Amino acid sequence: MLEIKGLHAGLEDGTEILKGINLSIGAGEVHAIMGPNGSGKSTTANILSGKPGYDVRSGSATLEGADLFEMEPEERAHAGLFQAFQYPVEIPGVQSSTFLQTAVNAKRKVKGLAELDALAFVRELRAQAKKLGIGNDMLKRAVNVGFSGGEKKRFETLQMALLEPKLAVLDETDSGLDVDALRVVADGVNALRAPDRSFLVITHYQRLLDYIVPDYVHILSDGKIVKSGDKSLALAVEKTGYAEFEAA
Amino acid sequence: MTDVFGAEFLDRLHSVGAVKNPASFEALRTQGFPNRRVEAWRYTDLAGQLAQTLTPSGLRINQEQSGLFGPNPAVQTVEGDALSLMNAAVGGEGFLFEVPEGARLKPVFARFGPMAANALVNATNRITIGAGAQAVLVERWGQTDESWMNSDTTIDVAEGGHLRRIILVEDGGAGTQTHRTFTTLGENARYDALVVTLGGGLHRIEQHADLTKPGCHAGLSAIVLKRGEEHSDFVTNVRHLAEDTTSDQQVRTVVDDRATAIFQGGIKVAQDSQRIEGDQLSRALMLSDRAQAFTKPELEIFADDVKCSHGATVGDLDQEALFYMRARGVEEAAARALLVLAFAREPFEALDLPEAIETMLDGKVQEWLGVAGRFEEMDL
Ligand SMILES: Nc1ncnc2c1ncn2[C@@H]1O[C@H](COP(=O)(O)OP(=O)(O)O)[C@@H](O)[C@H]1O
Ligand SMILES: [Mg+2]
Repeated sequence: MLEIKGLHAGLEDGTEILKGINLSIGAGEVHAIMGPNGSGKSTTANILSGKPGYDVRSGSATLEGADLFEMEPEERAHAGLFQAFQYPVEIPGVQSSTFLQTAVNAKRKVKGLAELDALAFVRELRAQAKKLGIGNDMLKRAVNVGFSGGEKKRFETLQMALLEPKLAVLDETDSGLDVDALRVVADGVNALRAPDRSFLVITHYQRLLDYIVPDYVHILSDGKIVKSGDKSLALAVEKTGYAEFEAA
Repeated sequence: MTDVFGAEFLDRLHSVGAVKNPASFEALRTQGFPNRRVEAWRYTDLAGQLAQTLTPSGLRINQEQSGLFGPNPAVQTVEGDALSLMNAAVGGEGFLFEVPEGARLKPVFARFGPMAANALVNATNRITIGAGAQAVLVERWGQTDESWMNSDTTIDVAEGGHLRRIILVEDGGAGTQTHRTFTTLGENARYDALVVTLGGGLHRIEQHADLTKPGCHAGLSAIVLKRGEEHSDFVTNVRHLAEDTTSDQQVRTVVDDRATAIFQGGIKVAQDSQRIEGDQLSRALMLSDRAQAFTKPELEIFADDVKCSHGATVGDLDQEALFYMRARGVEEAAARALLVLAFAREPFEALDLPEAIETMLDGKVQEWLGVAGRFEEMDL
């Protein structure tokens, strides 16, 4: 599904952040990346999505064989990539539901499907929103404006459910959530697990991985994956901390 | 006679027999049109329009509800600025819109346009809102092609009355529109005006409001959308002449290509007018490096107990928001349109307008953005 090979990347000013990442995610797999603050977790996610301000120096990233770095951000989304952001952006004046309809229809258009009119879309939206405990009042508000931390994460999860990605990258989707909210979000994610859909779950804490159980766990330290293993690796990190895995 | 600015234009008007009020014409012929050395006209040059040969023509009025509109008697004046004098000298047209005391009207829509091509249209209008009356008036001035439409509107809002007025100034061609409004507000009266200017060669819209009694409020806002070589000059002049009065001015400007937009925002507080609040916020979005947006706040405050604020920002679209939407698969053009739309609709969202009018204004902005009918707010 996703192949990252020898990825060196950083900021446009020359600062290197990712120092040779290799990662292969198969269809239907759930991988977790754990690592201390500043190790390059969000940078990895942002570079995959095509966020401006970063510079890929060498290496490649392909989604089902297609070169992500050759695509505009919207093309990556159409190809099936989805990033749940660590810090979702507030967009004053753009109604959440209008935004969602625009995004869903943009993707449908690329796939050659008929666009959904307001009525059909609202039906779909309501059904998905309800599962995540998102009420109409939230959907009427502007995108992420006045949303609590937990509401923002639920809204990211809703977008993922509506856009049905092939690869979902969840960046610290657990941060700012209490246990109940965490369960709602994790249930939302688990409901989407499918043989042809993969997940890259980025987290600082092991806690989330009790709810979204990964097949593989990778430790990222100073821009490199320093250790990979199964879910027991996450438990080991929880006990000993990251110091032990620090890159030499 | 000395060579005042626009003398040739005036001579042409005279020679085609357009002058109906010689006294006004003489006053204008003596003072001439304002050139760019006049401070209030620093940014706007009438020379191009004055060089054109125009046919004086009547005003075409289409209005859906009858009974409220009538012809306005011509005003004879030898005072005021050059454009008002031209109106008095040549005009004699216009509408009278009277809302009786205590009446609550459904929104009234009216369209105004020239009767001929290459026309010079002058209009003198009068609006009176009786005590406690409420009205929403939507005026559309436009499709002037190469014409010049010039109007003066005087408004009186009596005690406790409320007028919400949308002035949509739109042109298909490179026309000129110069419209001035002079409003007088009584005790606890409200006037909320929203000017929307789209297209056109040169639009200069002035809103003057005198707050003469305690408790009254003037809201003078504008949405300015300009591209190509278009030019807009939005001028406000709020005079707080009584205590306990408030005003608010919200201007949102979007300029693309080589367009120019100016906002000259005036707030004056007289010496004994205490407990005044006057807010002004001008925000401009520059969609091109060669576009220009100027804001010139003019605050003259002679009282102590006054809260006045003014702010001006000029910027580009929010790049983070743009990326966020693109990462969800929204194409860049649509993402930009959504952001501009959100920006432009700020002034009318604050007015609590009937839904049909909001939808109409939304449609105008979307049309301007080339995404007509694409985005709709959803009923949930
Ligand atoms: N846009 C940026 N501008 C400046 N520094 C950045 C930017 N993005 C990331 N960094 C820096 O790169 C390093 C890795 O950041 P990040 O990927 O956000 O880490 P993590 O998500 O693992 O906490 C940090 O030192 C961070 O300060
Ligand atoms: Mg991070």
